[in-house]
Amino acid sequence: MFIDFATKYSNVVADKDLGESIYIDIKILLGQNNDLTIDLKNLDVMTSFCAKQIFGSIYLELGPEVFFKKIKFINTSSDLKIIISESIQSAVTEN
Amino acid sequence: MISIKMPSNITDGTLDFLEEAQIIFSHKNKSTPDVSLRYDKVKKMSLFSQLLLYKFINYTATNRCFYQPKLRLSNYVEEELTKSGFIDLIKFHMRDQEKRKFKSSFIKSLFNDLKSDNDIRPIEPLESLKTSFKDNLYIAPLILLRNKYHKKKLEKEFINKIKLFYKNDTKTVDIVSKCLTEIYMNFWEHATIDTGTVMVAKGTKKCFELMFADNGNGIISTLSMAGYDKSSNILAQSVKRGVTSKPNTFHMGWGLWMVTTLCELNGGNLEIYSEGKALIISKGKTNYKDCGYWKGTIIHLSIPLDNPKNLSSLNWPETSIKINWG
Repeated sequence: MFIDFATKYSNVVADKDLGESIYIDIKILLGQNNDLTIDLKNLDVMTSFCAKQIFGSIYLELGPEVFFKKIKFINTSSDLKIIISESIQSAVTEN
Repeated sequence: MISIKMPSNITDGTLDFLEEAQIIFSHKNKSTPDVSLRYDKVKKMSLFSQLLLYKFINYTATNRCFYQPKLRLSNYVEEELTKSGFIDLIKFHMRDQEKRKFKSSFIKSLFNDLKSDNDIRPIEPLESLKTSFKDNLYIAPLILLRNKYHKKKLEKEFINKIKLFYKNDTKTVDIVSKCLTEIYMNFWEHATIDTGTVMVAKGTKKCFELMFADNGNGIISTLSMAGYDKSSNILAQSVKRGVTSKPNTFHMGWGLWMVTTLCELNGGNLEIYSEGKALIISKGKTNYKDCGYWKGTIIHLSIPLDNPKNLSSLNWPETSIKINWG
């Protein structure tokens, strides 16, 4: 399944209420689909808090192999790659 | 008699201002008489100085520090406050005080020509404050409140206006949006009527300037409550990566670190003042100083955009996390 992340949720993902609702939605979509392609093209800002809340949590639940297999990010800026990687790393370290 | 007198050029005089202004925090609910705040000799005043003046008035009025204090403004200062929109906030503050049956003579002294509430044009800061952009980008002074309206404002107004103003320059948009969002969300988390959080920002194609001030729990108190040693230089620690008052949550301690890093990468200036301590980054040098006590936190960021550099300009070590980037 393809998700245009900014269009579906918001171009600014910065607060925990929004982060929580995105996390829940992606979990539901993962349950309904074999894989997700998440297009981050029009995402202007994602805070490290939300990246950890959404992708850190999902990574811990799926485990590294399933996460890699089921979720593909496309059109990710260099900075956003850093934020997502580091937020997942932080979640793993604290787990 | 207490006289707080500002020098003619207070653009670069934040440390002097804090030294003079700290007296207000020992006058909470004292209604001390015979106080004057003199801005009548001021001939040069930055937007940041105006924010500090407003916060001074805001704190003294809401905490009944002084009884019928005198405020003397030069024509220049009045003009500057009008241009920036701070005068509207002061008027709103006055009306709000009247509603609460608290006579703020300090603020009324600004507007001696006003006989009653009816003389004041109704002002609703939540609706009237504007983000404008013609030659420059300007986010007018905003009293930040932790509500859905202001949460949406970040996304719907500020970031979208920043994108429009800095069109075609994704790096610049990225830097400005990140700094605004991280600081905004930090203050937003604690923004209540009591903290009196105010933000203002302006930008040209070459530079973006962002200012916040509040009277909440300052950085030093917040981090010491989380276990950081108050005798150490907490302000220095607060901008380090991974330092957070909420460990083992989704908070990563990245907000202030990221802002500081972007500031340093781009040769900007960052000033943080909180509870008697100052962190000042300027021209690539970082200084920590003691300063006049300020209850809460003040942040002033000025970031050049001539040759924008974002986080990926740094050398990032590979993490062990495998992610499918397509």
